[in-house]
Amino acid sequence: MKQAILVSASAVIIMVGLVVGLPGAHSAQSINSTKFNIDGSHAAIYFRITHLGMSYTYGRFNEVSGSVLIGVGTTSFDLAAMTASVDTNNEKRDKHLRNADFFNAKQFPSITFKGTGSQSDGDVLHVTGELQLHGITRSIPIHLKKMGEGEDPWGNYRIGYATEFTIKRSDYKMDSMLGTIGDEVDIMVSFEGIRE
Amino acid sequence: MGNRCVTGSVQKIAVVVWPIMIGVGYCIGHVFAQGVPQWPPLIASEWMPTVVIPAVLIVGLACGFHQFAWWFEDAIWVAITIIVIAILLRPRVPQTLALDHAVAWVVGLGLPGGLFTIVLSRAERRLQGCTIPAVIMMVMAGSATCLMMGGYATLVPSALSVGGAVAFGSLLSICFFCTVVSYGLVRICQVLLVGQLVLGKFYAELPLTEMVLLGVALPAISVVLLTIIGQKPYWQIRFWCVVASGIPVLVAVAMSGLKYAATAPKSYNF
Repeated sequence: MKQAILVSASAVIIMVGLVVGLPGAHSAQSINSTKFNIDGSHAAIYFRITHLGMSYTYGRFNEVSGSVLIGVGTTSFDLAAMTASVDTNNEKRDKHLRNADFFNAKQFPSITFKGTGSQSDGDVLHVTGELQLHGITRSIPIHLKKMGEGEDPWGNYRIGYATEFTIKRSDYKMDSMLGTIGDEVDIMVSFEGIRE
Repeated sequence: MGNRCVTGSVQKIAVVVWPIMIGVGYCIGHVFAQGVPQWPPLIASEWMPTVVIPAVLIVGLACGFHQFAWWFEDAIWVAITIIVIAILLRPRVPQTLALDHAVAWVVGLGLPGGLFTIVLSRAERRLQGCTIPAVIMMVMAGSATCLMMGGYATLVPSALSVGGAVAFGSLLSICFFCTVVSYGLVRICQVLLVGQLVLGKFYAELPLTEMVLLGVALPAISVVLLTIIGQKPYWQIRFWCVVASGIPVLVAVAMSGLKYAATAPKSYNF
């Protein structure tokens, strides 16, 4: 009799568990995922482009945000830079870059990268994603190299990545002054994410 | 005044040829600087050759061919000015411009802009000859300069092309009719100018003051016509029309130049 009660109770617990657990399967996966919000003060997006084919002009975006979601077998990565925050150490050039000849910041206030698929290979995360620039979205692959992770002195858990890739600005219809200024743009990204 | 040898048929030719020349001129400038526009337009300036130019061309030709009631014709030009501003502001809504602000801008700029087309249509009937083309060329050159300093270099060829088309058309007119027949010219140029200035203000760094100064430069000739026409010799009227339009253009260029020079550093070559 006691054994029958135990079996029945176990069955009820398993059934309840299944009923409650099935809709929560996704939540269970979320629990296994860790979200890191990009720390804007320790994130940098630099770019360089040739000027007259003689040298590189360097610039950066001062406002960067995004997140990395690291889960079991699934990792997503989103990054956004505000185009109005472009900084090339020349106020006249920055104004020009913000205007419709280049980034068109008033129509396209941000540049975004949204990861659509990823594959981990040791410390390197191969992410395929959609880069939206100047209103045009194109799929590109990037390779995020993990620089390190661990607890900082203030108790936050951090993870750091860096990557470099190249795009052609003409692919995004940013083709002003192509003769004077190069077409290929080298982009360097480095950031720290703080665990949520 | 100045239209002694201009017959009705010549006027009909002018109202057909001017819109086409201006439209073609603008599109050449656009393609030269920004390439062939795509459909649907991606960036705001692509609405100009794809929608604004055809619309203005159709309205210009329709008003030239058909004698509409004066109030209807005026209403069409006011409406098209407002619609052009709305179309050009649309790509910014709602990301960087709230809808209520956009509506306020459309009404605030569209109504005076439309009113100017009405004023200019009256001026055009009374002031034939080379005065209006000369003033348009001056205003287009001034707006090109201000747009350049406002950081919208790719709009400059379009403004200069419109000025070039006016110059070329004037030369043709002199060759064929011994005078510049400017019927059907000024309202089209005013609407295109409003479009260019809206692009400069809302997608680049053209300040509002310079925008307003350039926007009132063409209608300023009406002030001269209202105050001194019929009382002075024709050359004096022409002179004062050029002065009345030239002052706001010069002030706008000077203000843009001073602001540009004040931004550090002094040198910038991309």
